[in-house]
Amino acid sequence: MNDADSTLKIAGLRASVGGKPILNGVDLTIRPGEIHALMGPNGSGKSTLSNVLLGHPDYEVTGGSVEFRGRNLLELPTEERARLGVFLCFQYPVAIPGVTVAQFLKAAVDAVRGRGAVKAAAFLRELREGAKFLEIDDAFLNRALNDGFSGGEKKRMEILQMMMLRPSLLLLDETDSGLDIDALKVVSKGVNRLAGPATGMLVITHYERILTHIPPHFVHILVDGRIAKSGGPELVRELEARGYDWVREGAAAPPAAPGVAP
Amino acid sequence: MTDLPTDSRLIDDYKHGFVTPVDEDTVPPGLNDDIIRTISRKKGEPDWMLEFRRKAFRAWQRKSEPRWAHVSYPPIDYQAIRYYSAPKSLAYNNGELDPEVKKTFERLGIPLDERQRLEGVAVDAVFDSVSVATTHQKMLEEKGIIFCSFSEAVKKVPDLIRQYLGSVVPVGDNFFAALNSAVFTDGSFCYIPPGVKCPVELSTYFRINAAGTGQFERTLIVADRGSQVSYLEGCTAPMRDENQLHAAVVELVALEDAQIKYSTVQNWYPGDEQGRGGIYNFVTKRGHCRGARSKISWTQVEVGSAITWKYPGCVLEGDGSVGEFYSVAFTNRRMQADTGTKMIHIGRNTRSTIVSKGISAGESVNTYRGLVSVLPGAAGARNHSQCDSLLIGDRCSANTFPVVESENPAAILEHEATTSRISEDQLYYLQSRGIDPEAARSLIVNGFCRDVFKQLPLEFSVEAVKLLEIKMEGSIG
Amino acid sequence: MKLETGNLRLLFPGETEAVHALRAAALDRAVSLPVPTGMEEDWRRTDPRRFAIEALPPAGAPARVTPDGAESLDAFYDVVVRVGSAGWSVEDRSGVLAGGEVTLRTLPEALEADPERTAGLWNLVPAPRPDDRFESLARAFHSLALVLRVKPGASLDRGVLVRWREPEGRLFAPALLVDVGADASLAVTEVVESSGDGPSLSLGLTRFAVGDGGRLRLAHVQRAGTGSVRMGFTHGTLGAGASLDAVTVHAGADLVRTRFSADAAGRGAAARVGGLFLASAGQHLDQQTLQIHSAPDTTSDLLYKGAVRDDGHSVYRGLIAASRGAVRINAYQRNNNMVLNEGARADSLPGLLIDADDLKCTHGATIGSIDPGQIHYLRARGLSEPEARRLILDGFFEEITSRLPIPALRDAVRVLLGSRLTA
Repeated sequence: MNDADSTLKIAGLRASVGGKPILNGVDLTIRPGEIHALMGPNGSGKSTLSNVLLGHPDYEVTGGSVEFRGRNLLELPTEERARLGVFLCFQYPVAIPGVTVAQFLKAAVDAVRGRGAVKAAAFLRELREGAKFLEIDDAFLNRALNDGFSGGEKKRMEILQMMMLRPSLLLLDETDSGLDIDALKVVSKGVNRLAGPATGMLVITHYERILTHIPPHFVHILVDGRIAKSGGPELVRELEARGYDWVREGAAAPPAAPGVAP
Repeated sequence: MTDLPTDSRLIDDYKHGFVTPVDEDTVPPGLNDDIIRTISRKKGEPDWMLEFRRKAFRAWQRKSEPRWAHVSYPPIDYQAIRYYSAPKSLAYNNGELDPEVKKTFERLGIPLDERQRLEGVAVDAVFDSVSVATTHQKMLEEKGIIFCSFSEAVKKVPDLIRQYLGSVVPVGDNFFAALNSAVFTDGSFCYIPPGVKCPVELSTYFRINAAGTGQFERTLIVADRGSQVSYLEGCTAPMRDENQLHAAVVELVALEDAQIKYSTVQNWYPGDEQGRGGIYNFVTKRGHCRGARSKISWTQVEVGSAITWKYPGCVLEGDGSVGEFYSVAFTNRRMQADTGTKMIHIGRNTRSTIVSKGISAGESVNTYRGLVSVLPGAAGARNHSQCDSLLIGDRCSANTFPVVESENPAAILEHEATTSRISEDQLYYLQSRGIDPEAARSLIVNGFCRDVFKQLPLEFSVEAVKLLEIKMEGSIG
Repeated sequence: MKLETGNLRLLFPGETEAVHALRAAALDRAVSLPVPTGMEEDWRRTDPRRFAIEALPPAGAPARVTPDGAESLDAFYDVVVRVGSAGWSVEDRSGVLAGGEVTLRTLPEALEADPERTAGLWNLVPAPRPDDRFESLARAFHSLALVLRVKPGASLDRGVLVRWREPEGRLFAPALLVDVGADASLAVTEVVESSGDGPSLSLGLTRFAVGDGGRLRLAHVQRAGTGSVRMGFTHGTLGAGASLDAVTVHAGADLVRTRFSADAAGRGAAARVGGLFLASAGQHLDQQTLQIHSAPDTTSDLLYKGAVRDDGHSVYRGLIAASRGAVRINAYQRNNNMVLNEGARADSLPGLLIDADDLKCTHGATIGSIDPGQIHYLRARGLSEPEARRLILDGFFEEITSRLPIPALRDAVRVLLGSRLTA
């Protein structure tokens, strides 16, 4: 894959849930190596965007396109998106009773990295190494996936999956919510290990806290299903000082459409 | 309604056991085509009503009496029962209701005079076979609500009766429903017009008085589109050594967006310590959520009768319709209760909730029997059932026999049930706070039933709590 | 074939008087019991006429032959018994039979060695639900009855594997009696197969008695072909402080109706019962369980999990029965079902029948399907929808599979389920 291929281009994306419009024309381009932060008030559509990018069945796309590695993601089934290198750290990871973490990850690694690409022994080595790096007890690898896990354990497990699947585009959906500072550090450590010139990242968050651990190159503010403001890291501090209302007032002005490349 | 003395209508053990000395107009015992014609003639019914009865009678003749495991009673001689009994002097319309009958209802806490009537509750009082009084008529008429005795409705709104009677519980539905359809003598009819929210609770109070009779009343409630009604039913009977049969049929129809809430406090005479006497309460109650988003909610507190056999159910046909069943069944002495519900999910996204609390004491048998069925078209159907039993003493039995069936992959059904006795730890804890054991048991039982009691209209809820307390006294074996 | 005592001598020539007496008594009992019509409460969901007992000739007692045809699973057992149309054989792989700690006899041999105990076990029935006509017929027409006995205090490291391979075109009635002495320990695995997909009818009888402080692990894996119609009757008692750990797997046959019951009859007895079933195209599975508590301080813990797909139909009927005097008992029963597509059907009838007061009995039943959120999550990790569904179902079954006594058996069951799910 080359860098140009791995650029994510979201153009005019509109989506609704149960007939109610949530995204009202989102434009966003993430190039390999770039870390973008997406902030916004509750209900602005942040999580909808990540869910739409992975094709969650509850969300209906009503317009626009999402290009990644030469394909329109919106036309692909969820698993094809994952196999193309898109990884979403879910805000609410689902439990699968009876299926162990190791068993599940072997199936996922076979699916994403190719069947037989990783031999069983190498897989286990890599898995244990990843678990150690994320300070996850080995015993977790034989527990049922997310079944009875605490919030922090689930988030670490998401990052472990990310490390094993080696995505070229990482979407973090409020991964910091509900994490104590130690867990946040561990999670950030995992993300930063993946970060590099080949990987694009979108960090969706409500708070600036995670951004001190994963410093973004670009910051966008989503209001009412549209990117109301874009800028550099300084935007975070400005937002903290002035709140979202300041952006809302700005959004009422003629439509801001940064970075649109038709 | 707050001024209603709470120790009134349904409470005590068993202070409703008196007999009222009135002259009764009756028919000879026995059941045949002539008796049915006589009943129909006495009531001045049109031909189609007589035909309805005769059809039911033929269906009944072809059926055999159900025999359930865990319910036992000696054979009933259906030819020994009088199928019609009415106080002779009935002239309510002139304000001249038989004073003895009026007194009876006053003793039961149900004043029938418009001057003393209960606030917030319109009452239809049924004495033996006939409706003797209906209160609050004028106000209801202004809203377009029809609430009257069944006999009156047959004359006043024959088209509505013909349209809905037997449309939820067909004449041949089961042995007792067929019997009721053939011989029912009165009951209540209620129609709520589109969009009307009935401002008062509607209530029927059933009283069996005469000896050797059965009571076969019929209730039909139709809630038209977008209407709402809450309905209460209470029952008592005198103490007699013989067993008396009560075989009622209740039909509820909810059209689009309509809601019906039906609450029962059943305190028929349960028989004495040795199991002599008491009412056989064999009742068919069914609601039909015919319209989309309609809702039917059954709440019952069953503390009386020698034998109870009833399964108020909901046919959830309208998409998004909701059925609920909340039940407390208390059995003591030699009582047998076999009760539960049926929820039939036909429409899409239909929901049902079942909460059943059984308490067995003495040598009684208390059985929950239920059916939740999801038919192939009922995608998105949801059911949750919780059936708990509490045992008091070591000579009683508690049984739970649910059936859960699904033919749809997009339906979710959950059933949970527990049986246990009152926890020693809970008792000990309450006693350590100075509460005597009897009061502590009572408290725990009330807590156990809370989810059901809170479904009752407030004044009924207060009574139900008291009633259960009294019923529990001396039940600790 | 007529259900007449006179026919028994013709069908099973040369038998001892003791065995013939058991057959004749069972046939008399069967004939005295009503023929189910389908109107009975117990038979509303399964058509009794499909069990056409009189349509197929009963299989006679097979001859004993020398063992051959080992399969990989066999290596994990001390004793392997193979029963097929060619005859039956015993392989004493670790010499435990030779050592005398464990005996394996045919019913006639056992009746001679220990008549009362053997006949008692043979005729054992669960009190709250006595035997029906079919169970009596299983006794009357049993093809081969084996009696496995472990001496008090003895234990086997690995256990006994019995492979039943039912013949085509016959009424086949295998029976297994397991007698575990006080403080003894035994694992028994039954694998039931059919020799083809032709029509066959099987009536299986299993009885067990676990002495005080004894331990029995029972596994039953049924993977018969599509022509198979079968009934199974399993019942046993547990002595004081005895324990049972049983797992039943039903993945084959066209029509199955079974009843599993265990009576915690001695103070402190404990039963743990698991069931796993899968009903696919054309399959009808009707299973009944009975947890009987006739002694104080007993526990039972039951979990049956199943999935239905295509036009498969499953019926689960469970009952916890506590008799008077059975105080301080704790009984648990759960049945979880997955309806995998429209056209499939699952019925669940959990029941509690309680005549005691100092106890805690709980049952639960669910019917649902695979959660779309779980499928989406797995697809977001690159798995296809069929792969995701498979994995979720594997996980669903794992709770039972993991209860099987031997790792190799667990693997064999996982493979079996996998092949049935992808078929």
